[in-house]
Amino acid sequence: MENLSWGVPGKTIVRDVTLAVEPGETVGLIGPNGSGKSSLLRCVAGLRTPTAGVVRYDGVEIASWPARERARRMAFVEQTADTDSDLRVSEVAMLGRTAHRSRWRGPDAADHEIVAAALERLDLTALADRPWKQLSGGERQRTHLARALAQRTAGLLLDEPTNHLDVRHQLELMELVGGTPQTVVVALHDLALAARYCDRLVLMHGGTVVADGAAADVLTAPLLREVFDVEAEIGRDSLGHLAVGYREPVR
Amino acid sequence: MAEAAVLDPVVLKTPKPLRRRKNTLVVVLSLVVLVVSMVLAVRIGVGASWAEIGRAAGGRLGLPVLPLPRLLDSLIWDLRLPRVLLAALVGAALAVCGAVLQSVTRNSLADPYLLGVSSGASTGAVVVVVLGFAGSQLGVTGGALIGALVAFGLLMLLLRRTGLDSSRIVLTGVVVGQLFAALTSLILLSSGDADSIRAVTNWLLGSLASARWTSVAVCAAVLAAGLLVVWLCSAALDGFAFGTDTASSLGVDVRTTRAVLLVTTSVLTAVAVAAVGAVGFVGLIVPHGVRFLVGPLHRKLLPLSAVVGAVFLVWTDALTRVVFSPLEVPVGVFTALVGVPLFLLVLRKRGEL
Repeated sequence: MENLSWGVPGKTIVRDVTLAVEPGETVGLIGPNGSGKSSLLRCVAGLRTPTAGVVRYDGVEIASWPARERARRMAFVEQTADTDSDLRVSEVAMLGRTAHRSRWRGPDAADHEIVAAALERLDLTALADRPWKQLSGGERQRTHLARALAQRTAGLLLDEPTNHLDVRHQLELMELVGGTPQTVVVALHDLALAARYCDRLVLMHGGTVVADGAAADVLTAPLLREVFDVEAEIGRDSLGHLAVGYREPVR
Repeated sequence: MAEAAVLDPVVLKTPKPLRRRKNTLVVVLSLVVLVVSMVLAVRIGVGASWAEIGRAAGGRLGLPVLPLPRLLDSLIWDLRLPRVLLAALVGAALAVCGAVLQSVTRNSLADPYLLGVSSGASTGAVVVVVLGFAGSQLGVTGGALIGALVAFGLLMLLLRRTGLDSSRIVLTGVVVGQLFAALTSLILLSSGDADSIRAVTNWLLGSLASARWTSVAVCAAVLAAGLLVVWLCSAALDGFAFGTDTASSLGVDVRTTRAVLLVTTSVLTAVAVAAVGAVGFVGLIVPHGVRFLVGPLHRKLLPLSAVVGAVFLVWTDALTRVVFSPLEVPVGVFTALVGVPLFLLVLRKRGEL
């Protein structure tokens, strides 16, 4: 990613961002609401054309790829993607095979195996035949992630995947995200979760990157005060994980 | 399936061939129902016996059968058979267009007339009737086709620089439809007499009485091509379920696919409306009913919608002929009367009412 900018008419939302992500790395994207995390992810996913700058993948500009090529290299999970349709869990996960299938035929045995494996990894096997409408928010989020895994891509872009999940599923999902050999860029609100599972944190504010590095270097009291406008104390919990405590906001 | 899946991933594979066989069965069964319906519909209202229908068909195929009286032969061959075939083709086209547009716009109320193409067709038909070329039925059909294509051209012109975003498609379609509806009323009120108003109203409601072999041939060719195109887009249509961004990240070229689907459904609708007028309701309810039967995946939904739409219109037309005989009532009046109770039944079964 080089000098990337994107905006809507009259407003620049992502300003001059340059980021390099190494293969296999898990990068946590943090920052307050409206700091440009989601927009940046959409540019990287190739869903928005940057107004300036380029996104490269293995040195190739992704804008030159047709949608199908792109979808075989990068999977993207939106923050909220809902449907009125009566799709079942396994059918949603099968959507991940779209870019791998010929238009002329339906899913084959290999596709079914890949989908079954993805559902298994997200603990959804028992829900495979459950219709979308009967799923809880967390189950929907996990189904989207299973779909993204079924895409079998080297890159995984996630926009706040832990949003609707209970603590156990948050931890499981982040285990999975942190442990996968895939290159992951994940936007997160939970700073402690980000610190624990990401190799590197990128802190965004007002569309630009204000800090980029190891969790201990990014999550500092002065930076959090500047970006989030909170008084924070950073320490370790009794298990040795980085923990962030906040004081009452001063009015 | 749910129980089997928990046990072992290997067990997962067993339901698949079963499911495939079930799909094949559904397709074969529905095709059989379609053929039987069409044969029955040919017979209904003609008052011909089975033997006579057999002789009519046999005579045409060059089989050594006793020839029918010319009048009866012509009744079956030139009027009834094209009418039943056209009902099947138009029903299939409208149902498929409805299914596609409901997915493209993510709006369960979408139907083939959403795009305003049918309003353009009525304007074209009205112009022909008022100008007095309506003597030949081909005149009305030709005028309707031209009107539909003009409306379609305007729609595409207005959508040209937009991202083909779903709400834009709906809004633009409604605007185009309103414009042509206003033009139709204007022409009709300013220069139409009682006869032409009656003729146009009949046509607007949709009537299969004017079915001829030429319209059958045109509709069959367009439907075959259109069905193939939309069927090849079925994976993309599935991907639209979660909106543009998710579809795009799945590898669907959203803009191109939407453009292809809009052009295809517009042309299909234009040809169907030009052939028989704006038969309502088929395109709205049939896809919903079929989704209830086989689920929302378009690989199954589209072909089955075509067959069910065909059966539905064949039967509705046959019923219209019998119930109101000898009056010729537009089939469009009856589709809603038959369709509404069926639709309510489906909604109730789904627990949505």
